[in-house]
Amino acid sequence: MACSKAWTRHVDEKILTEHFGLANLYEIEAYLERGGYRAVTKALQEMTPDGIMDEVKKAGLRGRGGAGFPAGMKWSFVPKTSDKPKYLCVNADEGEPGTFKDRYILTHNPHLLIEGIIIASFSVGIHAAYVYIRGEYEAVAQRLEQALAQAAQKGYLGKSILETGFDLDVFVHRGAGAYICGEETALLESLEGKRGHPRLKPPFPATVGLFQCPTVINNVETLANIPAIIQKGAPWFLDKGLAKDGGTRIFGVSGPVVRPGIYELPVGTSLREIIYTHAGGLKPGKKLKAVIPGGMSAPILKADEIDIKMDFDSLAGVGSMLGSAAVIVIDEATPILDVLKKVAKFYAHESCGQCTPCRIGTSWIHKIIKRMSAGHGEKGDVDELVRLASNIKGKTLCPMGDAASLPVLSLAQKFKNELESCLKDGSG
Amino acid sequence: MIAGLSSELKKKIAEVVARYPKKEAAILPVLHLIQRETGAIGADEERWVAGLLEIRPIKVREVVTFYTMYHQKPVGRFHIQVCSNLPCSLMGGEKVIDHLQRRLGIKIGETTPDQRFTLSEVECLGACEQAPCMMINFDYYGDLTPEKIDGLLKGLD
Amino acid sequence: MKVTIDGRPLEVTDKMTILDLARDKGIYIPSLCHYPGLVPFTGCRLCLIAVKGREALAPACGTFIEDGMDVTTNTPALQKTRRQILELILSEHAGACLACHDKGARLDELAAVDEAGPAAGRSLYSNNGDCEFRKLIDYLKPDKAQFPSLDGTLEIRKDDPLLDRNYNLCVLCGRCVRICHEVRGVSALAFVYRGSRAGVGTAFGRRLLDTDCQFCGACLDVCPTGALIEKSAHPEILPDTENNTICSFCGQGCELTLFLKQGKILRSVPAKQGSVNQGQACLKGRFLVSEAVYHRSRVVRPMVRKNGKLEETTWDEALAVVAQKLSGCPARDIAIAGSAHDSCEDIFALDKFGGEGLETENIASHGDFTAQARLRDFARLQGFEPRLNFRISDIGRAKTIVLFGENLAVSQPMVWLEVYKSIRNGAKLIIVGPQELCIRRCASSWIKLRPGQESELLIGLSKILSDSGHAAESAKIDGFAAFKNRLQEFELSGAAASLGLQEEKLLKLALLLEKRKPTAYLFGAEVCEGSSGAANLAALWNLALQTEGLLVPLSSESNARGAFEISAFFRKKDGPPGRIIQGISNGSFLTLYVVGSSLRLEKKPAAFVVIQDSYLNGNSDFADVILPQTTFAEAEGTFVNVEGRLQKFERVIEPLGDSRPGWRIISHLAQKMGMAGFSFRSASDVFQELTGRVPAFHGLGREQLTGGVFLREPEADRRRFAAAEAFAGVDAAPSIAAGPDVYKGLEMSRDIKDLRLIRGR
Repeated sequence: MACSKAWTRHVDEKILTEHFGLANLYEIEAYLERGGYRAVTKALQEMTPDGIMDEVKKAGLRGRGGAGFPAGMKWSFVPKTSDKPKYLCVNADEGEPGTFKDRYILTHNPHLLIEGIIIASFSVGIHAAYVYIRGEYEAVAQRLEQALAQAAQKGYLGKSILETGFDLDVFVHRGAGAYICGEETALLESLEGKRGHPRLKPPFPATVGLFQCPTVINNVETLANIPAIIQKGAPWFLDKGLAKDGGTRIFGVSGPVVRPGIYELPVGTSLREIIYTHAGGLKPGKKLKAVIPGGMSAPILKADEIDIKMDFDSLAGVGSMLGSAAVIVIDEATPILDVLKKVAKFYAHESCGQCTPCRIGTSWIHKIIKRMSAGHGEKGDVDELVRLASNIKGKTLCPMGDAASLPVLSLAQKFKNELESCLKDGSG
Repeated sequence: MIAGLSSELKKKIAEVVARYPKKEAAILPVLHLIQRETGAIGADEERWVAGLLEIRPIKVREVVTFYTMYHQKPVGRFHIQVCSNLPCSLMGGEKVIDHLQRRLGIKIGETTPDQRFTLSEVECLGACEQAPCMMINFDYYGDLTPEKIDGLLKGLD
Repeated sequence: MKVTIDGRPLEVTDKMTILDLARDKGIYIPSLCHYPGLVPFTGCRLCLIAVKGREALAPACGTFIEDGMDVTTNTPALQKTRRQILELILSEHAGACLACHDKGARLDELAAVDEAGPAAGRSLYSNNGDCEFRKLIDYLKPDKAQFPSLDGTLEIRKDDPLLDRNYNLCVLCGRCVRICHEVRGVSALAFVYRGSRAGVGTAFGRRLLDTDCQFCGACLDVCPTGALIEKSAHPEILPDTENNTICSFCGQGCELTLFLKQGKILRSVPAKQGSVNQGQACLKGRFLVSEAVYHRSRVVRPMVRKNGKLEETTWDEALAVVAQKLSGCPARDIAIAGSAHDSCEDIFALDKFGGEGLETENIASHGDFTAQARLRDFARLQGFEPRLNFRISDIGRAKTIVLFGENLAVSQPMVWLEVYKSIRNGAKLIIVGPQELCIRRCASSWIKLRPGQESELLIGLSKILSDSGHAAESAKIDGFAAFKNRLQEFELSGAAASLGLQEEKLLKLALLLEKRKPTAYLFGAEVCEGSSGAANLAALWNLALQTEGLLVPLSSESNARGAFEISAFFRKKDGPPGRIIQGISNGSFLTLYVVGSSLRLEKKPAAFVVIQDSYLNGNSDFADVILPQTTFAEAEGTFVNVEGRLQKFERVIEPLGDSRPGWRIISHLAQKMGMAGFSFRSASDVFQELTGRVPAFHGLGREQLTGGVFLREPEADRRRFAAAEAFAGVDAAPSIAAGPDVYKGLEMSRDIKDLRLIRGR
């Protein structure tokens, strides 16, 4: 797998990407040389499952997949005693357009994730974990399989890890091309061998999840943070970020910037700093028009809104979201209608088809935008888009409805004039 | 053609099935393995998988039609999947698609008459830092330009 | 739990959804995908409601009530949301496209479409002119179509028998997919593709005939639009009357609703409130009633053979001929073969006529050869009293179900639905028999053995259990010591070898029965017949004792149990009925009176043969007189179903031609012969005498029969292990079972094309 641009700028102490520069970090020997698996040793030999959970709670680690739910809390919802097996599902179905951070972790530092999986499983009392990895990442999956085999060979996986009596098997499960499977309950359905239709909640996966058993579902980046929390403690981790949102984030920057790539930075770094300092600003001759700050489903920010801290609460405050921290930079030369067209096409293609508003609504949004794009937009079409999107938002079973409607609403609202100028009787 | 599955593949399939407490759960990986050998999931493959996993053929059908990576008809020897999503299009993804169509003489969704190439448009491949990007079979190629594409196609055998 | 809906304080105790409670209380919340008994799907989103304190709207169908919930179901904002969702659905609904090509066309112009529909090859109306989707439109009144509707672009599938599928009208509510999977256990239909291409399809996109479809019609009954429609439905021919009856095609006793127009049956659907079937039916009850009743081979005039040819005649003449022949024949030379498809009234009249009028002992019917009859015969020989009544729902309590040889999905469709439900709830099904059945895929194992080997398997299991550490409970039951003693002689390894099974497998199976109690054993006549029948029954009896087992003997005719109870009452001595059947085929009798399809005749069996039936068939060739009998739709009466449940049914249509109910034919004949005690004027008269005389029916009033009444049974004996010595002696005559697709003289799977196609797959 070609990962030609792992530019990472040094922040005082990186958690996830520190040794990314090493060519062979994915080999267990290299990883061990860099202090790998010490967190597992510490957790399994010196800590109790509850102690680990407390530490993760105190660290303020919020889920890195998009919703930002506190990870320690999520673990604690799993019943302590259960006559059924418990499962860990690692969400590596990185499908949110603009997002590629998990691919980096899996490719460059798979053992960090494996360490996180072992510690999380030990804490929750899990003996089988599945890594649900998007189907296109075949090479990545192979690398992870290899890392798992190495870890098992060294005794970090399998029966009685480090002779503690704790057993854990980890399996890689490849998806097959469906964005919706990144939604946790659709992921469970898919893992069970079904269509990726989201489930009705409650019951929540913590009690009724994979194969009807208690299940934890964590994103790759979330779990990759666990070893550092164990090694260096919650206060250290919390200190890297904000009061209720600890640690760093891997920001993936794409679009016409000088240095697109991933940047591990403290939670709360400003968007302007990410774009202009780390990613080197826009390419020569390009001018910033707008930014999508958290993957395609995050509402868009205009050029004058980028002085904002990149954390869950700050972005929510301006009506957008941090999501997967995927920063998509859009330059002046790009018509907003083109952006909208891509957004609409994507969601119409990825709707699972279960809920009426999402299935038919996204398809009509796409049709109307295609019409506008072809120069046949009619007066009122922009309002129609808003009406359609509003009728999807908050009215579907899973968050995909919001994901599909929020970007449309924000684009239509913030760039109304530009969009209306594309209509037949518009001024343009 | 399903009868001709190699014993190595059958072994691999058995190994994958054993990873799950319910056989049915192995359907995605098993379909991947079979498609790699047969090129597509047709009626015979659906039936075979249903038999293997002790589920009804319709359950296989549901899955095969839901996930975009399963081909109901074989694709060319080189399956070129170009990202047409936003991050790539911001970096000239449309031009890449146009160029590929011209160069291969086929449209999106078509296969060249010699069965060498199939061209597909796909959603975000998760390699936006190298936009525009594409996959040829399972290999990723990024920072594409018409010249780079020409070079890549020439190098394919 | 306390909950407030639209300001109305309500209280609930059970776990239920807001939608269920609201509907229960008469509060209407629109919905398309919800259907009672199915797992909430929450797909259509028309039932969105507001819950106080929750930011997002919630689907009423998938939101379970929590204490203190405050719910609003009907505000202008909610209605607007619903209207907009409905508009989206309409935009993909080809039915509306005819009127709504122009943006802004009023939906009330749909009225015009209704008329144009059939002409344009489309049917707007779903079942019976009763389109749920249309009602929803009337309720929500979207006054303007916001989007141009798509014209129907999908192919209408007309390549199946009985029903067509027009997915241009599908709203993707998923009810058909879900009922096919969740309730019927078939999964012939499923969701395919996704996003705007999402739809409902079959395996490989084939016609249903090439899938596992059982053509039960459940999908049709739940479809809220005209996407699934019966071939026989015609939008212009709508019923004027509907009447309920009990289906007589098999022993389940499903309640059906028959739709009529001007006194003629158009079609039938399962009654939602049916005690046994609760809205479900099978392909026969759902699709074939009108075809069977009006079948071209119906005989509706009495016929008498003159100069070698059957000729139509009057009742008077026909009955006179029969009366004369019977009067002139000694009782011992007369045999009567009754029908277990007839009502209790018909059977009572016939058996009374034979037993008390003609004073012959040669009366037999299917009812005498069912698993129920065999089990009782066997048990009484052992000195026990078995229990024959059960409730289908009892099977649902079993954690392990052992099924012998039958394809329940066809022969006992409602029993099968219960078994399938149990499996969904975690029960294990073990199938024992020679053939792999299509229901095998639901079973956890299939023990393949040759007919007659059942007892070897069962005794083997008994032996393992009696030797295991789990025998303490069984040891408390009478006769255990002797039973265990007898088992000593049984060689487990030898039996395993002869069964072709590993001993390991037997051990595992025994352990399963032991660990997953209670158990249920479902068996039909095949297990009880032949030389091994008695041994099989004894082994079953004993194993059931060891595993808290429910013995469920199954019979397949609509009134097999009733026939058996009534004939047992009239039988003077314990003469084995098998002898009579044997005698008939040997030509031992001079005069023969055959009702229905009890016997398949291959040559003329007696000098004089009377056939009382609703259909002409191969047997008619040997008849001297044919007396036309009504079908169940044309008469009133009672049936006892497989469970022992006594159900009444009313006359739905006038008798065809001159046909008469069986009891009336017999009464007239008896009167012609000068017999007393046959002055019945109605079926109720017969029923009254029946309940006064036959013990199983004692004291049951017709008006009580609203579904929950069971036959009376002697108290079941204190349970005791059966002894081997008494194994011999049960009548070992060959079965004359008619098979599941025979109704009276009509061999449905041969004479009805659609059924022939489906069964012949």
